[in-house]
Amino acid sequence: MSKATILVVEPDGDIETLQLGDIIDAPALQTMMEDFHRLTGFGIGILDTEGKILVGVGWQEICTEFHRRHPDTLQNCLVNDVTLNSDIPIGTVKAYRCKNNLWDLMTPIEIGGHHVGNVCLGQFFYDDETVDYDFFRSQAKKYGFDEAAYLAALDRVPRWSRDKVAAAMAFYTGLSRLISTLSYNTVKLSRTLIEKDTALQQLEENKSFQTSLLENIPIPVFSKDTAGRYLVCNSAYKNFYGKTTEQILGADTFALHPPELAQFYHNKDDELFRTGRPQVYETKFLNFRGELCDGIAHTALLTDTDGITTGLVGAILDISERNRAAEDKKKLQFQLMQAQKMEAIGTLAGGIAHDFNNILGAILGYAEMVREDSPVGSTTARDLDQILQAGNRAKDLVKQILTFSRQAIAERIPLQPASIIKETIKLLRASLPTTITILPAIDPATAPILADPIQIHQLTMNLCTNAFHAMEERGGTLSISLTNVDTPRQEQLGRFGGPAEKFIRLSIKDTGTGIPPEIREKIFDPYFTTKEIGKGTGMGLAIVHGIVSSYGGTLTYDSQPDQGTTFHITLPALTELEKLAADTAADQETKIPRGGEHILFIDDEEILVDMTRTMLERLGYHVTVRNSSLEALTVFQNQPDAYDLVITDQTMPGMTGIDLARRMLQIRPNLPIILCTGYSSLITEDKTKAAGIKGFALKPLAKKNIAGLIRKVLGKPDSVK
Amino acid sequence: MNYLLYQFGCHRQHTRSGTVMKNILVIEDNENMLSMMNDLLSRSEYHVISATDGVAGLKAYRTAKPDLVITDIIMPNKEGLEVIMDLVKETPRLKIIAMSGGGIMEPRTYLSLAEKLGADEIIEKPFRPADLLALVAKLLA
Repeated sequence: MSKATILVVEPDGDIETLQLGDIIDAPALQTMMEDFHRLTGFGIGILDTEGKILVGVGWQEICTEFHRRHPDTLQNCLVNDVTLNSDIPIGTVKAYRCKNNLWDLMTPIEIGGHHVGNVCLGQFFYDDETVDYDFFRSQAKKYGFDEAAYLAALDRVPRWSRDKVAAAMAFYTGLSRLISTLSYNTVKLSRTLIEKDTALQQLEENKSFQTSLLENIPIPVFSKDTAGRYLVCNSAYKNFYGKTTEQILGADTFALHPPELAQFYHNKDDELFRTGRPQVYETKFLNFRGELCDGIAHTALLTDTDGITTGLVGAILDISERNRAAEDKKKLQFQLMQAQKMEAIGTLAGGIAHDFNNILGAILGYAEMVREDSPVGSTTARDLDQILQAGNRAKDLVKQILTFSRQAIAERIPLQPASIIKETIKLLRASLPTTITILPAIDPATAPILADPIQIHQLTMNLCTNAFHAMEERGGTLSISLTNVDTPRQEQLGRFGGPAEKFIRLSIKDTGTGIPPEIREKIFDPYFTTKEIGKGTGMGLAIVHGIVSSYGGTLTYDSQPDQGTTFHITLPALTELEKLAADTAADQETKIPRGGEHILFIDDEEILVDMTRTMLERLGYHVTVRNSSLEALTVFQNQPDAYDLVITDQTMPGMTGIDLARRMLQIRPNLPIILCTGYSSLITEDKTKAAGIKGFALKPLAKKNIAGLIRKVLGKPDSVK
Repeated sequence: MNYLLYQFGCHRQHTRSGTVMKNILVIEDNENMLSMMNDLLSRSEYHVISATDGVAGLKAYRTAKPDLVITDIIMPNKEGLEVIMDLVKETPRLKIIAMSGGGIMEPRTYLSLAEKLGADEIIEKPFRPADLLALVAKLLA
């Protein structure tokens, strides 16, 4: 690489070290000046500051053959060339007679303020001067030149007029200036070009770095121009919104986001452009799944090198996970607190219950004994009745407290919630006043659940009782709905920690007074009640909550003041695995007795009729079903001996099961009858026995239990036909 | 409160109608309950021996050899379930009624255990006097 090249390439290169020979195109100039010489007869010499001849045209023979050949005379030339050529101001001409007695004119070449060489016109005589031949003869003698040849050469030295010389020098001065300028500009241009290349390369590298950086930042980053159009965005941004680069870049805020959100972002951007202050704000974002996410946006102005705003740059932090985690944590903490509360209460309640029952036992026992001794109808008898009544309430209360405070491992069986709820509704119809309208909406296809029927009944009763109390004054409508849900409203954790698949939802709605906001946090606390004394212990919701939690379900509610409240119980549906396990366990526990007798089965509930018929037939029985007690009675009257056993529901419209049984027993005494009932306390085993009914079963009928009961009531062991 | 011994061995009292009184041992740590049962059973012409814990109860049993034992479950020193086990071991045919008001677990949990261990009848506290008397009569018939 030539020095010039190096100089040019290095931005810090020192132009002072530049040599004229590095930057002029000497061969081109040589050719040009040769033509000039041929045209004008004027020669030229372009030399660098060290006297090196870069362009040389029209050298005289006297110089080339004589002066520059002898070392001493050469030295004269060189001295002339170098030492006499300094300090000539640019654009001026220095004329001097060289030591060899010829004229030399010189004008400097400067590049970037540095003297880099000279343009010379030399080796001539003015036409108005006399040549000193004697000098030259002595030169010849001194230096051993062939005098004749030397003098002949002398005669050939050109003689020009002063005007011509001046004109030539003016030309050479201009040429020199031109060379200077062009050379300098060439150097500068080359340097600029190289710098530009270097800058471009760096720019490319920076760009590459930026792109890489942006792409690898895991949070959505974007920039917009002042009109709100997207300029740049990274992959995280595209992925967040599920859009391509083509969809985003060039689009504005309103094209990319839903109207309300877009307006909000737009207002925020405006604020940023107005105030210039970087912004950090919480907002919502609609992601590619159509989910509304919580996020924090950071935006700041983009300005150019003159400080003019060119747009904005922003980044979004998705804090949905964080918020969800915080919510979950809060929920878990609350649940933990509740659980701890419950445990404490449980321990306390258990301890109290034991002593309480003893004390109650004594009070009730003595009261009864005195009551027995008191005359019928006396004041004492009546007063003692009051004591007994109060004492019995206390007994129930203790039971309730204990039920609530223990996580009693009640027996859970696969059951159809629809049937239990319907039973409960029947009971409610019977016990609620007519000012309350009951609106059931029970989906018969509601999935089975693994549950304790008593607890399900309890849940329903508690919530319906609360609903009733809310509507007691003005009456209203109690809506009870039961349905399947595929995706529960809130995220559920299944009982085993994983997401459960199917759920059932029991919703109980009243049109009562609603739950005031200030008590909402307390309603699940045990003993919290807004009711007057005697109208409820305040245990209801706490019990419901405890039971629902133990099933891995959720209890939520909506309430509007004076419009009413709806409670939702969501419970996991029976999984296939549980069903299998329950069936297997049931079958394995005891060998289920079968039979082949003819059973008349009566129930007004369609679903139950089908289910029970299937179950009984599977056990080997021949089953006749009827949906109404009246129909059943008619059919029985026609052929009283056709049936080996009657199984009847208790709560039916028209004629109850007990009444039906009595009538049937009148026709055929000793007819084996099993009465089925839900969790109404009106009918007990004792009452059924008193009516002559041999068997009593609680609904829903569990296969194992009913199978055994049938054999017992028939008085025969397992019989397989 | 210590147990009361039936001090004169096998000497039995008689009812108003002249029949021999049956002896019933009641093991119950709550004095109100014990007092009530004492009065209740006495009124029905049973002779009652009382004890306030399992240890005293077993001692009383060995001395008095009652016809029936009614025992509470949750008691200090020796609880009812152990008492039942010991009684059944000593006298397999002894009639036993177990009673309970529950505690950490429901009464029926304790009582079903009592049944499995050998109690003939079970009753939850607080009970109706008539219900207890019915059970006693049944077992002593």
